[in-house]
Amino acid sequence: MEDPGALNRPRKNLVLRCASGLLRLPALLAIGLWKSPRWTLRAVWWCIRMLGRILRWGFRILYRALRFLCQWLGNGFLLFASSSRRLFSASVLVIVAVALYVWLFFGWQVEANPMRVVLPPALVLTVLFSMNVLPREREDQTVEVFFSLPVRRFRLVIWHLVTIAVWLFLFLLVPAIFTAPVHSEVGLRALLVQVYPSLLCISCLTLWISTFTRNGPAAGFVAGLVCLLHLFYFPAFGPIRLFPSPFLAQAAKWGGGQAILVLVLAALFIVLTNERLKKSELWFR
Amino acid sequence: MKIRLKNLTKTYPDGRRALKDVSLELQPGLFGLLGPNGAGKTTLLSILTFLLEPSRGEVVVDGYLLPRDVRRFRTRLGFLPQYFDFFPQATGREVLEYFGRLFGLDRQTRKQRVDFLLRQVGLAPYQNRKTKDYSVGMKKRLGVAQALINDPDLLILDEPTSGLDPEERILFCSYLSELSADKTILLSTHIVSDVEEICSRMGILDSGRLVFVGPPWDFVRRAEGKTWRIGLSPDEAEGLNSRHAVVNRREDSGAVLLRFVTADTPPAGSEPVSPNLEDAYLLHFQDQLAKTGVV
Repeated sequence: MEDPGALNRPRKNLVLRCASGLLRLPALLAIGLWKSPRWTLRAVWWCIRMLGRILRWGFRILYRALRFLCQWLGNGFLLFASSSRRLFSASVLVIVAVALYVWLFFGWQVEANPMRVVLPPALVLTVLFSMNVLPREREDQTVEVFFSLPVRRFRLVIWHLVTIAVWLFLFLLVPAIFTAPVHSEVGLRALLVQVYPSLLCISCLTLWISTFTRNGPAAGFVAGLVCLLHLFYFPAFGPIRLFPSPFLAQAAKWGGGQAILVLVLAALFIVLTNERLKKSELWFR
Repeated sequence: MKIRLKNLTKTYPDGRRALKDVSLELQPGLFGLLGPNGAGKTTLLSILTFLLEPSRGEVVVDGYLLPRDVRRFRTRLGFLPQYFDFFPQATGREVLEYFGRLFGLDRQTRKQRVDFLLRQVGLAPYQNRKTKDYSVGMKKRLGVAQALINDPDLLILDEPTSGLDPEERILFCSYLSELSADKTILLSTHIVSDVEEICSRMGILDSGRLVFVGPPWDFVRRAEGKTWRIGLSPDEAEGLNSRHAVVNRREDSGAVLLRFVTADTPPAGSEPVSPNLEDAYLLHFQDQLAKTGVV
């Protein structure tokens, strides 16, 4: 039976409880020392040793995790730099400059839906960033060395994707900051929470397409075509549905389910890209 | 490391057969792989590095059938592709450090190994220079250092001496010779003299088939009594050029001195000379080269 007085009894604060427990400890220790000093001292010594061991193991695990993280980041840095060089070819730089200009000077002046101006260049940039990465590895024949190393191909895909993600993030940050005071719907939240995951998903799609075409511009063309078809005719079946469409007056509502769909789709494309990379014959013939 | 290739066959999806029943045993030492373009050398190297899977046949490494644990095998493998041009913005030292990290070497081992290899390949004075400023030969040497970073048991080198100047080539060959004492090294090259000078065993691939395996001098013997030298007028030299495989031609005060190989009876006035690997190689591929117009 439930204690009727339980509801009326004041609840103890967690800090208070811990403090009272700690205060009881010296008392218990004193009683133990008085009754059986030898066993109490042994127990205290054992507790101290165990605590030391736990701390030592804790620090060791933390140190190894940190070391692994640093190594992983260190490994990725050169690949990041190398991939970035591939992203920013002269033609891409020109398009980036034009897109930035459009964003900065016209982005917040459109009355109905500023996404109309913001999204198309974002989409084009995403495709541009992603289309060349894997085909260039093949053209430069660096893929041979990577594949002969004891490194998972998945890691290669992930690092390329991280590179694209970082640059897209930085790129989106500019209009997000500049348009935030004028249009809340193109502000930081809208661009980084709504648009960014969708762009990443399209980036994964482009990477996957590039494993079929094995040619950057061809991959960009196909990916662009797929995105446009998707945007105009089948907006309900894929990542662009999650995009606040530039052709609608009102931005689409963003829900948790849509976010999960974006992530699942992106993960699916990553896995499919990895599977394509495992088919070595496609990359060395 | 002992590697045994059993009846390797590789057929590409378009039906082109790059390798036909290749069986070979590699043991510690230097093994040279020769063959004209399209003979299947790169396909064989790709199968050995597990970049490609054979259509038929098997690869046995130290008694274990692969691919069972390819990643573990790759930790014992060093590979230098034909073109090595990595991270132009990074310095030579950074590139080697990076590959050391990918092989999972700890910091101390990595530092020791990088220092040692930079000294070995003669890049220590240029270690802090960006690789985009390296010459072709320096890039090649960096590639070799990269292939050796994990102290591999099996070293696969695709055209390692192409682009090197003579001095670099000599140094490189002597270094490979030193390494071959305890490592299995497979050297694929177009430069026949490299194989003759440093390889204890060699193989010749011809249209996907391994037509010869053995010591170079054994192959050279095939050209004994078939290598000749003759001095002719320029017109006569043209005639001989179209009938026999000419190894080299030298103009000497109006006359032309020709060294040629032939399985047929040589023209009158020819004197026999002792053959080398190049002569034997040319004799073997005489018909094929004649078709392509090289001879």
